[in-house]
Amino acid sequence: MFTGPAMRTLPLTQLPPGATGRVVSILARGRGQIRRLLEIGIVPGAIVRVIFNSVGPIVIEVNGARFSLGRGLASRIIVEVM
Amino acid sequence: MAGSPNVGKSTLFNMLTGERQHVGNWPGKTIEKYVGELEYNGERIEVVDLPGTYSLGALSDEEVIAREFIVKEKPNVIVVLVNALEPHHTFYLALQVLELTPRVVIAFNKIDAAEKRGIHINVEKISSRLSVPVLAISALKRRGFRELLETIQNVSSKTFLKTFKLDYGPLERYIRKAIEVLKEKQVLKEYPLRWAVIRLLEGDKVLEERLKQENWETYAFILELRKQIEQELGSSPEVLLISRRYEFIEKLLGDTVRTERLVSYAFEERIDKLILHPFIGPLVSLLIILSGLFAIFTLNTGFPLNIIFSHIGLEDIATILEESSLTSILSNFFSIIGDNVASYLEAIGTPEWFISLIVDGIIGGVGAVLSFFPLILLTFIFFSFLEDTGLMSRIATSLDFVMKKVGLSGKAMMPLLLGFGCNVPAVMGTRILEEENERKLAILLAPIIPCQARLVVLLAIVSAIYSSPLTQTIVVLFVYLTILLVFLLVSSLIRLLVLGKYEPPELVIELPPYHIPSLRVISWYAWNRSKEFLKKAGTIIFLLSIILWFLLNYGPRGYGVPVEESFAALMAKSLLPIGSLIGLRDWVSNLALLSGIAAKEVVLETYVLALGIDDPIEALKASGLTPLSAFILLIVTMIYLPCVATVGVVYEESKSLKLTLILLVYEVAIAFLLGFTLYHVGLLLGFK
Repeated sequence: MFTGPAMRTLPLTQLPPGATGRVVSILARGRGQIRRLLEIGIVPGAIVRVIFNSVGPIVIEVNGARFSLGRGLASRIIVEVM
Repeated sequence: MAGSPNVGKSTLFNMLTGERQHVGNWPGKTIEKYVGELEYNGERIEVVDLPGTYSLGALSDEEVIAREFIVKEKPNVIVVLVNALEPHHTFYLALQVLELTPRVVIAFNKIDAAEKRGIHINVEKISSRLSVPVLAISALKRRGFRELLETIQNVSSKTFLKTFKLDYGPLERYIRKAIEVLKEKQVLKEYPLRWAVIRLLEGDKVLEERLKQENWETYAFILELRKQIEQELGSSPEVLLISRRYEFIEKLLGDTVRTERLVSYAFEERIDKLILHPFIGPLVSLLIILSGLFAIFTLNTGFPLNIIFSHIGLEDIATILEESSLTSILSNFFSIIGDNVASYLEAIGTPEWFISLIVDGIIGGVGAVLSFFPLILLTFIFFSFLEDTGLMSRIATSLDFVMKKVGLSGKAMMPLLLGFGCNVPAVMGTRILEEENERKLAILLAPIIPCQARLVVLLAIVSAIYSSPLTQTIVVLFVYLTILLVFLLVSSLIRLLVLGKYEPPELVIELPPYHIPSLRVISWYAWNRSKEFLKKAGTIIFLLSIILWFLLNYGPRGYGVPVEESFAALMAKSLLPIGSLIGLRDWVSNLALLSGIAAKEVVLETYVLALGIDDPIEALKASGLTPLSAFILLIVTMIYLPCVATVGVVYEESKSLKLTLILLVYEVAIAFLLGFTLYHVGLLLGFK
């Protein structure tokens, strides 16, 4: 996928608390999990802010609501650092 | 589908029908008519989106179209959408539809947004007041769809339904009079009579025109009646009717809609920092859970607070705690009733077996069911508190890593926690797990969790058989440790053998803003869930009590045989060869295990009955159980089989005979193997 200059993309799990990212892609691993992410608003283009990120599920904020996401799943959400 | 504008009707329509819809026009009008279809459960459902209106009067084309469709086309079901964010504004239409037809389902839409703002709606209560199904859905989030479609199918298949009748107070006698006249003159026959009368009194241009044409006399009569109402009641019928409707809506919503305050953002951040912390979080969560269980058990039976008090020398307080515990109060209550009924029946010369059937069988059975109630209610209250405040999702997050070890996600913590109170709501609670395999695993693991009934048996046996507090503590710890190991073992086995390729689902859970809990909302939730439990498990428990009464009181020689000769004892004696293998050589312990299938507390009751000693602890002491055999009995009771109510609910929730059988087989197998091993190890170590 062609990306513009200076675009850093990382798995969501590598964003520190307080950082914001725009969802670029979600690595598929079963329709059910992807569906749940879509339903809570984690779609390509969505802005995601990290609240807590250390051990265990990562806590993020999207569309004004907060969610806990399992690390495995979160590591498959690729974001562009903003 | 009917609903006011901005209630989310088109969202719902699109979500339901997707590609399968087409647009036309309502006959003779320029207003668009949307019709779509979907399939559910083998049935084709056609959905007609009625124009959005606030009422069903005749003030606009939309209103007339909507109501004419309902009257003429007679749809099987009308779903009326109400906006959960603004119920007071959007409920009027629902009331109008209710007065027109009985085939109604009311759906509160945007329930997700409402919950975020702390708005709670007791749909069960509204449903019981209006006698129609009432649901909460979110068209946008596709929430509640399954329930909606099932309800639609349900209502559609019903043949006899009564239309809701709103009481208009002083207007009723005028309404009655008008109904008589219209019936006599046979006018406006295609409309429901009462509805037409009310509309005419209100001043419905369309119906008035029809009436004028059909029968001028009746039209004049209606005009006269209206004047009469204005003179005699001091207000125009229109004003009286409409204000009565709003009065009803305000009362209804006032009783069933509650808004809770949200906690301040700063405060919320502070709590979250603590409870979502990687190390402190799990400890705090555990603390919350344990305090809750502590409170529930203490209120229900006095334990463990009574033990603490008696150990520090405050025996009196300990006794007071026990005697004022809910279980104690309930069982005393039923004893008193039983005794009184027994004396009365004796006095009028009833045969003994009948007295026993009524008092021990039936009253005993009812008592057995109701004795569960305080525990269930308390458990659901605690649960609802955790859910309502928002703590539950935080706890699920912080303990997710623990749940992963047994192949589940943090979400499964919620139903499994219930299991410490009673396994039945725990199994029912697995409904929230969306992943099919996770749900199956949770259903199979929930019955292992030691419920309060098992705890009671554990405590009774431990305090009866083992004398020193040290031994008692060791035994209790050992039992719990064994249960934990069994839990882990079973989880691995099931994942390996039954589920095939399986990984626990990744956690995706919303952390809603913290709410200050409202007592009313918690009580609604707890009450509704407890009623559901009573309905499901209650019947099973009651029936089993009767069966058990029969088996224990009747033998081959008829009624009133000593317990050793009862059918139950005979059944137990036939199990002796198996029982001996695990060190249970006497028929009483075998009988105890057998009757424990009904409910675990019956294990104690069996000793009471068999030895004829009222106090279970004294009965156990007199039973001849050795430390070893008591220990084996304990372990086996904890693990061998869940009570029948649990088995019933497992079958109902999993809808799979295979799963239920797997549960029964593995539990019995493990219990037997454990018993066998412990017996022989115990013998080797020199125990008797």
